[in-house]
Amino acid sequence: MPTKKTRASQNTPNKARRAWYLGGTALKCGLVLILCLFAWLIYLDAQVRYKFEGKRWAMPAQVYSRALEIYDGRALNLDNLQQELQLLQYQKVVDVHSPGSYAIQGNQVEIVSREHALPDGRYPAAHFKFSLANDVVSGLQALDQQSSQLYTLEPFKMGGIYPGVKEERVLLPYHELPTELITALIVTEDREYFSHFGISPLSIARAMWVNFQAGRVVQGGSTLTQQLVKNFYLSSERSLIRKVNEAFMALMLEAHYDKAAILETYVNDIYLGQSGATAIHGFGLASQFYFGKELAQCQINEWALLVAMIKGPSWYDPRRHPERALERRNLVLSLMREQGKITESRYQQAKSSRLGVVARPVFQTNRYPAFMDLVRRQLATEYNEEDLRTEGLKIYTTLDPQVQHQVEQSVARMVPELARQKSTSDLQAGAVVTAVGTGEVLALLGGRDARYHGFNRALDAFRPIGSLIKPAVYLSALMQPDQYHLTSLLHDQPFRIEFANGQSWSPSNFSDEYHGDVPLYRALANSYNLSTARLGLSVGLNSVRDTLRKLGVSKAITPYPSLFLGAQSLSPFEVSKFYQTIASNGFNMPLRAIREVSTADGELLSRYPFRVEQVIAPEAIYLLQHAMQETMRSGTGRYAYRYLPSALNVAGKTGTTNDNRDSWFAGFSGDYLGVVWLGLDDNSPTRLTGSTGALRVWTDFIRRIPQYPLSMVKPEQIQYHWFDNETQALTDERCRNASPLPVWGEPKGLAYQKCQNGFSSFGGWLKSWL
Amino acid sequence: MVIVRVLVLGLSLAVIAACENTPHRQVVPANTGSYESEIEPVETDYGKPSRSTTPAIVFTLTERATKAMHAENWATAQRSLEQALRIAPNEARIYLVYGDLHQRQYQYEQARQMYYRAISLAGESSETGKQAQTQLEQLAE
Repeated sequence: MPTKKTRASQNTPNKARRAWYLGGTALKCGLVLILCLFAWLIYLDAQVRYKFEGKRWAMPAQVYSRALEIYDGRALNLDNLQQELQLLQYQKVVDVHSPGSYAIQGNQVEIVSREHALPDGRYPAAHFKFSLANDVVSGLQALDQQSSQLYTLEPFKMGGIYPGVKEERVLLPYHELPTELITALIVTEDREYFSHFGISPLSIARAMWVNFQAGRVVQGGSTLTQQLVKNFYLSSERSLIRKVNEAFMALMLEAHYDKAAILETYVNDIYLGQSGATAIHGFGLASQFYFGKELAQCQINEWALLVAMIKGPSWYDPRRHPERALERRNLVLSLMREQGKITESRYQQAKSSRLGVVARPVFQTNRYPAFMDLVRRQLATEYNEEDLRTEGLKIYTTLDPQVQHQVEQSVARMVPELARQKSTSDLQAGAVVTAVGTGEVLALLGGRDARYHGFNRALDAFRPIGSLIKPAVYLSALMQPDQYHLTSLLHDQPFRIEFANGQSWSPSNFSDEYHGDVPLYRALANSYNLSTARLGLSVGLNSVRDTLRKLGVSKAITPYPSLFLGAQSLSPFEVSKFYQTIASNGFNMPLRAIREVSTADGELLSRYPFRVEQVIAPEAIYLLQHAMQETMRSGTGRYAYRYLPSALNVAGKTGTTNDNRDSWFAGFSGDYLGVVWLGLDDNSPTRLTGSTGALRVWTDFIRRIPQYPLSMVKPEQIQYHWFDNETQALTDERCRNASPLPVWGEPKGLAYQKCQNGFSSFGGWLKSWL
Repeated sequence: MVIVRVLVLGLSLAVIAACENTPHRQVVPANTGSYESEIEPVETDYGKPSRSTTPAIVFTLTERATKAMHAENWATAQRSLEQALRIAPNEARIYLVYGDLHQRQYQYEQARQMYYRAISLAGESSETGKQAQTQLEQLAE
């Protein structure tokens, strides 16, 4: 039997064996853990470097309006100018000194523009003044060292093309960050930033002591690097694992990258507020959002406020909680003073200043959705959607905020009133305005609600255009000067034609009235259907279709005579294309919404230059424009001159479809072509004609924009002759009851009669006598 | 009697010429009031060309474009010309220079179209029109 001593001696080797076994297992487990930890650290390191060195953020393409150019002789209205200055968040002041400010005294305007970048380079801030008399700029004068004949204001940032996550930021490189902003950030968030290695045991210890004394968490011990790691790589989850990961990643970040790079990323990533569905990230954008100016143009009190908001952008929102924001801002200022970064006097001055926040942020995700839609469609042919959403491209468009504003206001003013008059509550609108000389799209409206991101009627509402087509019919005739001229008599009487398939066509006039023999120009001016249909049949369907193609209509064209009266569906944008050719003297020019596209760094990617092609003889266009001016003076468009200055020569055409379902107007001056459509989405009758509907909207916005009148240079083969107003016979110059009309070539085959009613001037009599 | 007639005619024509008023092209200010203007527009002098009021900056820009063109800096030349076009789209000389720019870049069809445009704006018998015609003839060779 074993003794106690024997049992004890037997137990010793077992214990040792167990201990050895346990120790070995522990060692193995330890090794495995270390290996796992090592692998995890390698993974974390890869994550840190991959995101920091790669594309750090998905940068949406930024879309800009045209930049306002100011030069002697420019047509510019003071109200429109002020509207644009407000859009750009320029401050109206008494003494103009800072960039982004202006003053108006009588007709004198003084501006200090902001420094800005355009595709052709950077423009420094400039101080200049000019006079505005009769809506024309004159006396442009530099008030600083840089004299120039032309000044530009920065283009308005209309919006962007966003990734799925709606974030917006303005990236700033480290060297552009204001020194005092950095100072405010460091003293508030991480005093040892430039000396620690990613984590700061001293800050952690200090925070623990302060929190212990307070009995709650009042101070954090995280460094800026840790904050960046949390925001950039991790989440706000409160867990030990997250904290450990954060610490390791902060160490790795500091090991790989310098302090400037880390701080630059922090400053551009930090969340500082919300604008609707879009998050505001970075100080660059936040300064625009809260103060309406560039970060470099802010003052110390404003930088301090931005830093103050880091702790809680909603809690310290200066618009919703100004008291809290003020208190926290002053805390930041006091920390700066305590650390000796600002003097006592500067501290007092900054502390006593207002928050300086602009009352209503202009920043909107997409202010002009219809125009943006056009921009995206035009870009889609060259850029894929991913690049547009993530590469930070800069897109410089042709949109003119002043013209766009007037169009929006006119639709908002007129359409509800028209709808009320006709008891049609759902009346909708589409409008396009282009520059006659260049084909640039200046304004686009997709519906009655300008901010609505939905069906874009300007681009996608294909509706019968009615009488808007008639200029193409008359142009087809006028291109044959041997057969037709403005005084050619058209038979405005009913008729019926039978087709081979047994169908027939018998058009009628709008008023069911018949006018007998009418001169061509008067038939167009008064939009007589019967005259037009007869003329169309005479010149031929193919001729009219060919003319429409030349004018720029790319859609399928109706192959039936009903085409002559507008049985052809086009969108307002398509109508603009073919009226653009008429307005620009027979030259086809593509309608452009974009001028240039560049990378985020300003490197040019694409240009969309001016292109032109002569497609119609200038003589024919001259005659047509004359007749379309008659439309405005005495025809269906004469309402316009109740509000337009008499010196503003314009030409145009009204359009009404069957049962008054669509109300159209297309008209142009020397500078602008505007096309307006009114109608109901369900195609119900509106009870509006082109004259009582769309023309009124067009008149309302055109009259509010200063511009040059229509004035086409007379081709040499065009001569003016006098025609009797009743008989349309050639007669003597300055004969009473006669009017001068242009004729292409010699007036062969035209009847002549001596002046029957006396002369209107001595000169006319004298010429007839000789 | 013939001499009398001629003298009377000469005197009358002199009086008429003195009274003639060639309108020059001016900006028409915006009418932002609610009042209605005249019902009937005033008749203009039909067929009489309007004198252009081209801002001075346009000539600076076309000169800049010409210099850039000679230095083969096409982008700068094109930008300057397009800026000039936006300011004065009816200034024929811009199209003349633009046509030259296209020619230098071997874009002959677009050069032709620019010259056509210059002619349509200036008139065939004007100095600019004649220069454009000359350029067109050279292109045809």
